[in-house]
Amino acid sequence: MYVQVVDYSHIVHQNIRYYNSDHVVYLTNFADGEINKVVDQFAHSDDTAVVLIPAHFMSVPNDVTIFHKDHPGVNTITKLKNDLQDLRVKYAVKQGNNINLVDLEKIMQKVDVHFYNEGTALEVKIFLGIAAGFLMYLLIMLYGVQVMRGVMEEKTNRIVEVIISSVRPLQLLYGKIIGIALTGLTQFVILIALLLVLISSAKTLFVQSSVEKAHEQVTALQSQGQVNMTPVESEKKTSVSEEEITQYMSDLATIAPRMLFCFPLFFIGGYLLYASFYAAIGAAVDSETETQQFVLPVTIPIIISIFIASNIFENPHGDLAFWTSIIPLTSPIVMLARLPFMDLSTQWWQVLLALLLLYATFVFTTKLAAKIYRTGILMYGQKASYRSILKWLRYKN
Amino acid sequence: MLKVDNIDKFYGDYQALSNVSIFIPEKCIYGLLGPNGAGKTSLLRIINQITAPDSGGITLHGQPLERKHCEVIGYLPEERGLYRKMKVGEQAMYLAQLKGLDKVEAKKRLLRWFEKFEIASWWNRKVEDLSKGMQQKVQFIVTVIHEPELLILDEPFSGFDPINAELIKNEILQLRKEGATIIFSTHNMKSVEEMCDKIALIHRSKKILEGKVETIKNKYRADLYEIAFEGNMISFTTALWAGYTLVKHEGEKNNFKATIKCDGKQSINDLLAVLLPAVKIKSVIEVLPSMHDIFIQKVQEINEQN
Repeated sequence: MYVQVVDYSHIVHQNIRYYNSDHVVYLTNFADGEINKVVDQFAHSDDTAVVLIPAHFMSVPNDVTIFHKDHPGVNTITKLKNDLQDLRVKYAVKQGNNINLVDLEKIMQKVDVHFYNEGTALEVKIFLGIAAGFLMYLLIMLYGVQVMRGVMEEKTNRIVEVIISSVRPLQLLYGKIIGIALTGLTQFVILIALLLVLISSAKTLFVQSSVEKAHEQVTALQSQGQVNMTPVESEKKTSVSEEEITQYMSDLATIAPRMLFCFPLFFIGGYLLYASFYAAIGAAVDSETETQQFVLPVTIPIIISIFIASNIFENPHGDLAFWTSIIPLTSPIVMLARLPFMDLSTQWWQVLLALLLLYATFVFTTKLAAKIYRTGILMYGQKASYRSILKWLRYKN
Repeated sequence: MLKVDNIDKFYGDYQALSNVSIFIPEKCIYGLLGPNGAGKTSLLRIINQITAPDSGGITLHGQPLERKHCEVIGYLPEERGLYRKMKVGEQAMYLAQLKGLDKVEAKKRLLRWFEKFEIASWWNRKVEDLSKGMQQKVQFIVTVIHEPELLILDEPFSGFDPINAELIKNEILQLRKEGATIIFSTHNMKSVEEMCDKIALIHRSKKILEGKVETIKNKYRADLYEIAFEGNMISFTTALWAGYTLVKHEGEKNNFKATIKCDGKQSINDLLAVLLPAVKIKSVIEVLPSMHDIFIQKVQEINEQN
């Protein structure tokens, strides 16, 4: 990715290219340009971000501004910070003579960046993405396995033949899957309602207690004579954290609707996809111990998804993130984790495509699973193998 | 009532039923016999529309079998069970409603049956607390609760203790009296002779014998007679000098019992005519083959042919 560097401090642009890597290339064509114009131009370019280094960079290292379209990812930002830090220290050491400890302290101050046009804090996105991904993972596993156990119970109980002499096997299968899905959705709604109550009450509680705490701390320190901070200063300090929390809350509010909208859609699709696999396994085996060999291959994509989802913030628009959020077996979890980072006004088609593929695949796999199910539930005392399951797929029912 | 027409059923390359046709008249108790793996359960599953045949068809009262007919059929599978964690009453209600009964009617009928089978006090207990025999009673009740015209029982007596088996047997006979047609598959030849009007013998996916129990027995009669007499054994055997074979005999002094096989077309009169001058006849009984013998004979015949 390309990063334009606009350098009003005149100490970065000559040397920043030495920090170019395979992934990040610093460009300095407009190092002295007017920032508004550069940003306008950037909007129509393929570049990933514009970095604005202020004139007072040497004295105030935490005022670097980044302009971006999609979030460039945590990895890029970390690299940028490190590069600037390194450059800054080297420059200071080269310029300075007789550096004393106080100067050194100043030089070693961490470089920090803020995002010019970012509506939502990165932390909030990461939190929401990972939380949604994990919740999806939990629910799919939980209810999928519940379907499997249900099917297996009916088979090992030998009640299944009585029931399917009254209803079609597929009615029984779909009834079970849909019934458990509805339970899942109900629980999801309750969970979200609880979370909302918790968050809104936590907000007031947390803000209040943090203000009180800060007061207490300051008074305690003052009484020990260690700090000569006026109450006004301490007020300021706590009021910042309050602002931050309010900011997080409003950030949450901007992303929450898309999560709440997409979660049930992906949950239904993902659950139906995996539940059909689990149902087929439950029908094929005779006992819990036999399930192992079949459950593993079904679980692998879920595990891979959750692994990708928990690291997605590093590069939310990379190839891996993109493809795994489209491919049906991984999309329910990965897309949810990626969703907070997406610009839906241009990338909505990816979500739509993922959903369409997911639902199309589930229709297909459910048909397959139904075939295994119909034969499997009536096969007693046979050890199921992949070969016998392939054979069942060819039976006419 | 039920007509099974040229049914074929394959599982992959394995043929479970080959061109099987049977006809079951109304109010008949029809026995489906055959060794393990012959295809009995496959046929019963097809009649219950659990699986479909690869070719051939089934008609009930002249109409092709359809889903709606489930409500007039009751099926007790060979592999049978109940939800273990559910309460007995709840479960019976659920299964009765699956068969199309409404709540009130289901409850009314269930209570009647539970009283009859003396398990009413178990209504609110969990199934896993029930003994196997009691579970079987519950299973039988939910099979017949919707008063099916056609009752299909796969190995109904397997696993029942003699007392429950007798109970079930009497219920089956009672249901037939009330107008039900009953098909059951079994290995238990004694119950076949006691209960069945008609039978079909299935072996290696083919029907090898069908007919009324009496007709079959007559067909397989071996012209054997058991004769009890008073007199000399030597003069008895001398009298049978030609056309008859002495199969076995027992007794002592002047009282004997002998089994005679007629080798030709002789009737019982011919036999008596030969014997009367020689000994004093006490009784004559024609020995008919048991279903057990016919079953084994027929199956062995087929096995030898192959």
